[in-house]
This record gives sequence, C-alpha cells and structure tokens, in this order.
Amino acid sequence: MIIKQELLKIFRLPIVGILLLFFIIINGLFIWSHSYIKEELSVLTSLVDKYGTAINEEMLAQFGGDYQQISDWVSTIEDLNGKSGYEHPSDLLADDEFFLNPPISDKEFNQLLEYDLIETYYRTAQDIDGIYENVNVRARAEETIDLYGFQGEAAETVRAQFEKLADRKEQLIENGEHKHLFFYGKIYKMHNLLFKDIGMILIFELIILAVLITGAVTNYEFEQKTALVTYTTKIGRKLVIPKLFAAITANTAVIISLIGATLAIYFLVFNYSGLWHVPISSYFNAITDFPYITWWNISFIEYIGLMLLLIYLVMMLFSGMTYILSIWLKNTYLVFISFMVILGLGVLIPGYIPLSTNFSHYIHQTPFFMILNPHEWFMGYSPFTISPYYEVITISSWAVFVAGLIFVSIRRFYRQALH
Amino acid sequence: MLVIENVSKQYGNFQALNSIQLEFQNGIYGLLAPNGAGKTTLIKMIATLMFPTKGEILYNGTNIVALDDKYRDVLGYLPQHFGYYKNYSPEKYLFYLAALKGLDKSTAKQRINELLTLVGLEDVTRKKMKKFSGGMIQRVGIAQEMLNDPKVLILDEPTAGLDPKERARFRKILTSLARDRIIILSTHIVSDVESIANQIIMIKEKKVLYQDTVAHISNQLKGMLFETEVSLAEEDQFRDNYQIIGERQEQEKLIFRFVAEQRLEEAWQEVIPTLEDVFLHVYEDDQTLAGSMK
Repeated sequence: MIIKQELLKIFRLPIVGILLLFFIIINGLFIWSHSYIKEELSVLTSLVDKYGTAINEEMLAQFGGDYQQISDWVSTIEDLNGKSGYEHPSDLLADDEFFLNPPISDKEFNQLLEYDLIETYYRTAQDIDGIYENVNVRARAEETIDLYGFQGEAAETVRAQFEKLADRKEQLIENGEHKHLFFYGKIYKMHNLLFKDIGMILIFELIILAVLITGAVTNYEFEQKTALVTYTTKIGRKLVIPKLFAAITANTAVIISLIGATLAIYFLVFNYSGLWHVPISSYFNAITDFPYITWWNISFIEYIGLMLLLIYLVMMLFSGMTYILSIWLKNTYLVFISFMVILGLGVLIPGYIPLSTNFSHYIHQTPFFMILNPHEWFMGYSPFTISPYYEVITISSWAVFVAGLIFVSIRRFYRQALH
Repeated sequence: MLVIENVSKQYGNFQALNSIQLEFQNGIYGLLAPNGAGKTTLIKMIATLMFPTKGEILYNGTNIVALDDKYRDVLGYLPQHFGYYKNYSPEKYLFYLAALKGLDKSTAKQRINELLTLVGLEDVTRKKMKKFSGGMIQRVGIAQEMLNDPKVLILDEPTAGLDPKERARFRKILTSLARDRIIILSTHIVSDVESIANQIIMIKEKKVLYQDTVAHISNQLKGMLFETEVSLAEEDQFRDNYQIIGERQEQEKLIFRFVAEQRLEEAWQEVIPTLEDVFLHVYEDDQTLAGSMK
C-alpha cells in the first residue's frame, strides 16, 4: 500500500511521462536517420537465408558456386571503350569510364551494386583465416602501451591482459566464432550503432530519469513540506525504505519502457532475422583491423541481454547514489546538480592519474567510466576495461560500496533533526 | 504519562532549552511563550523530530526514542506549518497518512469519515485541497492527527492564520477531544489556551517558569495589578515608574493597566489579573512583545 502510494507520486510527476515520451521520440528519430542503409543490409540477410551464418568449407563452396555466376555475368559487360573481362563487380565499379557512363540499364546497375556487396561478403569470408593470422595481439599491447604512455607495473598489467587475450584469440579461432556472416562492420558499423551510439544515448537518458525519479520520491515530503507530518507517523523515518523500493520499481518500469520501445523501433527498422545467434566476435563486426574479441563466446542476442542487464545494474547503482544524495541534501535540484558533478568528476579524474602504477587501472573501475563504452563490454579491447571481469568487479564492488553508504545514510537519517 | 526529564537542547554554541523538567497527565496543556522562546524545539523533541542534547523524554517510563514506532503509534502531531499534497483530496491524503500510521483500509475508511465530519469537512471530502482556505486546511490537519486515536496529541501554533470564528471552532473541537489523552498546545496567543487548558506551561530564559493552572498563574499578580487615569502631561513619568500591561485613551486622559509592588495611591483601582496580564508581565523584556506593543 505504501509503496503503491509512493509509486503514484512518481508517476503523477508530469516530467517523468514527458521525458519518457520525448526520449522515445528522439531515439526513434535517431534510428530512423540511419534507416537509409536498411536496403543494403537486406543483402546480407538474404545471404544468411541462403547459406546460414557459419563460414565453413561447405558454405564457401556453395557461396562460391553462386558467386561464380555473378563473376561470369560481370565478365560479359563492356564499358564504352569496349573494355571487358572484369572478374569482380568491384573491378567494374572501379573503372571510372564504366561508372560515369554505365552502358547497362538502371536495373542492371542496381543489380551490380548489390553484387558488389555480395562480393565483399564472399571475399572477406574467404580471407578471414588470413586476417586472423595477421592479428597480433601482443603487438597490439605494445602499440596500446605506447599510445597511452603506460609505464612500469601499469604497462605490465596491460601486457598481461593482452596475453590472456592472445590465448582467447587462439581459442576463438579454434571454435570458429569469428567465422560467421554479419553486417559488414567496416561499412555499416551496426555493432557501434546499436551498442555504442544507441547504448550511450539510452544510458544518459536513463541517468536523467533515474536521478529525477529517485530524487523526487526521496525528497517528496521535504519539497511538499509534509515531512513533519509523515515522519512522525507510526512508520516514521522508516518511510525512506518504501521510498527506496518505489524508486527501484519506478526506475525498472522506466528502463523497460524506454529500452523496450527503442529496441522495438530499432528491430522494426533493421531486420536481424537469422543473425540473433551470430557470435559478437564475428570478424564482420570489426570496424578496425583489430577485431572485437569477447572473453566468452557470446551471441548477438546474448550480448543484448548482457547489455540490458548491465544498464539495469548501473542504473540501480546510480539510483542508489541519488538516494544517498537525497537523504543528505533533501532537494531534487541540488541532488540532480550534485549527481551530474559526481558523474563528471568520475569521468574526468581517471584521466589525470599517472599511468605508471596499477592505481591508474583501479581508478577506471567505476560505473562512471564503464558507461562510456558499452560496445566494448565483455571484450578485450581498451586497456582500462580489458580485464575479463572488469564489468563484474566494477558492478559488484560498487554495489557493496553504494549499499554500505545507503545503510549509513539511512541510519543517519533516523537520528537527524528534521525541520 | 509523559515526562520531560531534565532535557536540554543545544545548537552549536546556542542553548535553546536548558534542563526542562515537565510532567503531563491526561488533559490539555498550553505551552505559552513568545516566538523564539524554544516552544517549537520542545514540541519537536516530543514529536521525535529532534533529539535532546541532554536528558530524555519518557512515555510511561520508557524513553520515546527506544519506544520508536510504539510511541509514534500513540502520537498525533499537527506542526506549525501543516504540509499537504495540493492535488490530493482530504480523503485521499488521510488514506495515505492512515497507511503510514498502520491503519488497515476498513478502519481507515471509518475513521476518515468520522473525523472529516467532526471537523466539518464532510461536504468536501473529495475536493482537491489546493482550493481550501487556511482554516479548512487546519481542520484537515486536526483530522490527520486524530487518525490513530492518539494518546499524546501535540499542536504547534495551531491557530496561526485562522480568523476569530475559526479559532473558536478550533477550541471547541479540541475540548471535545480532550478526554483520555494528553494534549499539548503550543501557542503565543493567550486566548487560545486560557479557557480550555488544564495547565499552562511558560518558558523563559530557556527554562520552565511555570507549570500550573490558569488561576494559580494569574494569582502571581494578585494585589499587584492596578488601573488608573493618567493625564497626558504625566504620561512619560508614569511609564518610567511602572510596568504598563495595557492602556487605552478616554477623552483627554490615558487609562493605564500596570504592575506595582503595592497600592500607592487612592485613585488606583486594583483589578483581577488574567493570564494575559501575567504573560505580558513575564515577557516584559521580550523583543517580540516589545515590538508588538509599539
């Protein structure tokens, strides 16, 4: 009954509904602004329908047989100078004479563009083994150390983590996680669009909502000037506990609504059929020469699940921090500003720590830093987050820290003079 | 029984209350002192909103902090500024507070109907409180503090902002609630408590000056309170010599009500002291009163 009443207070705040709707519209528009690529993406989903996602000898033979027909067709086309015998669609499109004055119909030209994409997938699929042979994780470690300027034990830690990643790369090659068709990352950057761009947008939108909701419900009695009445009832100051649960429940509902609506729009715009179980470590996900390597074999759908779980847990941490600030400050505006200052400091301070001791690594183990790269979660990629258990350690240690502070704050509130 | 046992309250270097010793049995107690004398601090300590720096407050022999929710279960409190949710109706707000007071839904419903009728708000139970007058809000406040049928009822400056008619109505309601419970009414308006309080408590210089009946306290000035006519020419000298409690002008003369050790002149009429006379006498030097008399 009390939690229900506290929840009603939250959902009657116009700002919550307005912001939620506004964010869903913004996210929808952002997704829609990338929808121009969805036609090209359908080339891959058609290939997956035909050959599946796993790249193996049988698949390559079948794919190669079909590609030969494309190659045959391309070889018959002459440009205006009578030049012909092109082997691949890309060769033909690279010929400026042909490209500027194509001697084929528009329909054929569009077909050629599609073939060019099919060629990209086919030839990349063929090259993956060679590409991974050239992926030098240890060299990457040294490049990273030089790039960031790590020294001493901090540099050793980076080396040690990349060493583990090198082992993981061998394991990955062995089980063929990297050899799966997926939207070509170097062209479409779909992993980054969903997990970095949209992921970051969602995280910052949810931070605003979580801080507002938690601050508003915790400070409600002080801001409505009802504290002296409510905190002298039988439940008394223990009312802050149902308020915490109401904040958690409301934040859960808002997280589900915003992420649910955003992902629904995303997957209505972009067709991922056949791709749900493709490992995130697929080479096609890579956007640079150093591919994404997850520490475990995680499929696309599992990665979404893990991202949602981490976003949820991070929001619970932020909600907990807001709750603590609210108990001390008792004013939603002050709480909001204070939280944003803490967030800003949490992001900026690690950048000023000398990179010579392991403290430089520990200081990055905060939810503030973790939320900056959601597309690299559970991966060996950036030096500060490379540890296999970076996310688990960060979340669990901060959960203990925040829970402890909540306990202390509540105890203090019980003995605080209320005005 | 509620006992304030040697309670002191200090804010940093400022001593708000010093060694307060009080006992409350069932009945109405008027806590009478000017603004800033520490009434609200004492009230807030009894309401568990503040904690004594020294001493303790006992209810039936146990510290109220240790009693925790058992004490608050028998406590009703109307703060000086009664806060409410503007977009709630009195019924809805009382239902929420009833839940906080641990009442089940059916008991709450019955109590809310009874109390809103008692305070004369039965016709507006579902109207939003943002349209209510100050008097109506104060009546909602009285209803909320009675929800749990409290044994200790605390009202801090409950008549502030009420017109005389509302004040009279308020006193009537309070009298009807006075059986079987301790009612502590803090005020700086003598007429709020003069006619209804069983005992008056006065605080001066951070300590309890009186805890007694109206009659006994009024008797403090027996034989020392007079009225006399003073010409305008003698006015200044008279003011310098005596403590003036009240004055009025009739034609070319001033009639002073004043305190003197004994009757010095035939023309002086001895008058029966009231609680207000004692109040004005006791807080003669108080800045708030001095300001209000000018």
